[in-house]
Amino acid sequence: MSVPVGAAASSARPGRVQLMVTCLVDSLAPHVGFAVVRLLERAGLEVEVPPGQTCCGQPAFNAGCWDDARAMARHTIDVFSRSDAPVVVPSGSCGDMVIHQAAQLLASDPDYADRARALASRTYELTAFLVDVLGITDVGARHNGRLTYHPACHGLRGLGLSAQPHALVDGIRDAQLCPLPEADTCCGFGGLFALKMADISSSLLARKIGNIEASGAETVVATDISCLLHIGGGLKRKGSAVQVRHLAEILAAPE
Amino acid sequence: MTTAPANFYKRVDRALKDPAMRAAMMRATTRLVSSRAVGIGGLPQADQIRDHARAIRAHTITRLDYYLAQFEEAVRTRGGHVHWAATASDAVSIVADIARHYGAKMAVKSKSMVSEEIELNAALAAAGVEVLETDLGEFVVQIDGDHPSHIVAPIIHKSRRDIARLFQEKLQASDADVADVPQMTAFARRLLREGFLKADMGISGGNFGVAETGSLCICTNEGNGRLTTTLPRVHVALMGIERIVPTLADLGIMLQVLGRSATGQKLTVYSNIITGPRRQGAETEGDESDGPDHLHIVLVDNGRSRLLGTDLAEVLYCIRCGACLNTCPVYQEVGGHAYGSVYPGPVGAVLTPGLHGLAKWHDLPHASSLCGACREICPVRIDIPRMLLTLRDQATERGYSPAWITSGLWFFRQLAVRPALFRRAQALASFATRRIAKNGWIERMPGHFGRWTRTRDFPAFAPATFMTQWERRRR
Amino acid sequence: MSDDRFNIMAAVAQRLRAGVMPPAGRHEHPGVPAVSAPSLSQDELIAHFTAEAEALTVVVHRVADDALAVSKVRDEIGRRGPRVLAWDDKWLNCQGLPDALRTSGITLESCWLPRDAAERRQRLAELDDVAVGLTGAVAGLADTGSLALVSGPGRGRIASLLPPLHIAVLRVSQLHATYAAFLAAHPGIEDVGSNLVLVTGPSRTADIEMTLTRGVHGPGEVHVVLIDA
Repeated sequence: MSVPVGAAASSARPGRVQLMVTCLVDSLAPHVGFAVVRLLERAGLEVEVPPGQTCCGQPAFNAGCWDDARAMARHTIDVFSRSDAPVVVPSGSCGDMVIHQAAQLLASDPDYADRARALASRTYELTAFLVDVLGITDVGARHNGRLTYHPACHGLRGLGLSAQPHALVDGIRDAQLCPLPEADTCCGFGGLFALKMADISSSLLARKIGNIEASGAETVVATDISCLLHIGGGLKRKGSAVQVRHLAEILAAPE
Repeated sequence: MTTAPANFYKRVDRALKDPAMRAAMMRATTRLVSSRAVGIGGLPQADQIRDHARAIRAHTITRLDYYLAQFEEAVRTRGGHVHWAATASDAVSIVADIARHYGAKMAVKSKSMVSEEIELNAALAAAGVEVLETDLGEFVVQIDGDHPSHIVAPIIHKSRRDIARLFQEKLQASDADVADVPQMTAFARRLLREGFLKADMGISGGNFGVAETGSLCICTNEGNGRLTTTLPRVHVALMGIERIVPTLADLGIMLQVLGRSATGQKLTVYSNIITGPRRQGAETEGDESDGPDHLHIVLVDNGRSRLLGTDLAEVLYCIRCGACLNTCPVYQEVGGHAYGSVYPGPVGAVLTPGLHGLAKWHDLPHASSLCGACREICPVRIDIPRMLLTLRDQATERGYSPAWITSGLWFFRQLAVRPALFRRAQALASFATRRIAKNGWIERMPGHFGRWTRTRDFPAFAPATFMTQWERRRR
Repeated sequence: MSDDRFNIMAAVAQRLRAGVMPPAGRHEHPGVPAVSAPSLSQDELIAHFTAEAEALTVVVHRVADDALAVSKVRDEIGRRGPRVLAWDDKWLNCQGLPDALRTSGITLESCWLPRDAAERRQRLAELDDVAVGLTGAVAGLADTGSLALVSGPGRGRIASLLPPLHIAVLRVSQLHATYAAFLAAHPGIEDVGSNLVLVTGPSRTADIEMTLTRGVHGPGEVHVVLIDA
């Protein structure tokens, strides 16, 4: 690993972490999960993957089905509370759910309120973990080609992640970084919004894809598989040659 | 909204198929967002000022009964009248009664969102009072029989060609009159000037009421707000009960963020602070030279008090700057009319169901991807996404969520809390999706999932999930 | 109407006592903002005020004394016609100005509006083609380039509102850095008159396609004669 850049290296550097792989990565993009494992192991950490993890409950929470969301949040707390190691999650949406929303959702649950807060306090989105906790911005990544970075909204505004992913993207050798017009404008995924308000979602997607194409990038990279599912699906439908990659994939390549 | 379809999705569909409107929206909102960035960027210690502004609103709302009483007392001391309207129809009756009392037949009106909310103009017309909108955008809306699509910029959705055509068709404007924007503005000015000189009554809104002094602050750019509240002998002001600030100094803080957030202006051209009607002086001093002899302030509840003490109370902090509308990607795509209500955009998606109930308005809280841009831009830091989520929860509890979503998520939850079953379901989905996929992509999905594949491909599930592969590797 | 007051106030009071205001907390009044306001020298005040006003297309005529103010105002009015809608003499706050204007053949129209409806309309019709309005001011605000005008006997609102050109006489001693500073220097300003207006530039609209047009209902031109005293 390169010398850590930035003053944010935590004095209490953990030796083990738990991976919250997220239901979307688990089902649709397991290679991203393995990329995250590689990144963390290369940083000298032992990675635990608690069995029984399924879904943090965010889709249900966003849809207003809070009873179902609470059940899934409780299950998630159970799964990740068996170990006291910090939790790393490669998603701003799921990260925001576990770090902010679950504790509020379970605030009046006598059994889970404290445990939700405890889990929240040791859960980190991947880029925040690398940069803020481990103090790493250069992981030795290399990518030959034109890249543009799309900031996922929950990570950007829910978790305040901007400096961290940008620092990691900037550290990718050989990559030509193309600025993304209207970068901070939502891609239109929004969870079940993509189905319930499909027309508006698709309209926002068209706008995001237009901006990606205008950027001249060959690859669009993001920290959230949810955005990439939506953007990638739209690019594919359009017959575009532009690829989508989770940031972890690029940071962790080659194997 | 008589001309718009009753169904939210139909209104959205209509909006998305209107490229001219969408282009106008995009131009205007982008411009307003960048103007706002310059405006707030130029405010020294903007973060502290915004925190302070929020604290003033929060404090006032938690003591609203005290400050409303103080405001009323102060207005009365200056010789003004305060009326209390619990509902929209009460407010309308009050204004009609005031008009009748003074024998007013014609009123000029400056911009008031509350007056739109209570549908005042139609009711006054029925009561024999002609109302002339004098804010240029509202005037256009009135002539066109249309509705405003933005809190601050009512005709943001119209092109100059639309307006030229309208002036020619409805107002007999000549070609010269509509040759360009300055000409059109001058044409409207001449017409409206006649109205100002003849009107018996002026009706305005109120941006803020100052409790300590009983002052009403009206912020405008055109000057119609001043003419409306100066020339006619009677001034009627409509204001929501929540628009109170404690002192004139507090007002200054709000003014520091209002204009900058709305249009990027440090202040609107006229910040008009009215404390009572035209004053009669002692013998030596004499009376004030001009101004209305009678001031009537109508405080309108119309559902606001119901929000106090609830999770939705924070929406009452709103100062109606419109910044959340301008930055909202959904509002940018569909415009104001799609929301079907007086208050569109993010604040409207909370306020409208909040004031008028979810039965009719349960779609609005879902018209958001929860991106958080509204919360980020709000000068008083209102957490709109939090309240949208709360409304979604309430909508589900009251049975307004469609079955395919509630039962789908219920089913998903049953799997998600039973890991072994979850894995079996994943394996099944993997099998099924890989069957129908071509080169790993699915172009058509059945049922409601088809909403995805209308415009996007969906990837087949991985042959083996991460968890499965992980377990294999660890063996 | 009193029934509604009772019900509304009762509802408000009941909700506030019974409910919880999120985010939870007592929400005390935050007092005065802890924002550092640099104290500006008079030159800095003048410079800021002028820069801000000029950015709004306000024309600022800086003059050393009342005599020079008089000739400046007389010239500007003379160019537009023989009538000006003016505040009463003493409120123009400029030695010799009213007399000089009258001597030049300029008619100073009074701002007084009759209370009777027909007389009022008549008077407004008479004033319709007056090209210039002339006022003093109670203050200038440097951070926004604003004029603060208070209404009162002999200080009609219409002077800064009806005619297409508004000329305001302002003295540098009336400049304040901010609205907050102005308020602090004028406690009880609400007792002075029923109308305090902050005028920040000429009347404008951008309602049509975001295209800026000046002089919609209020004056399209604002001049400030800023006297060095």
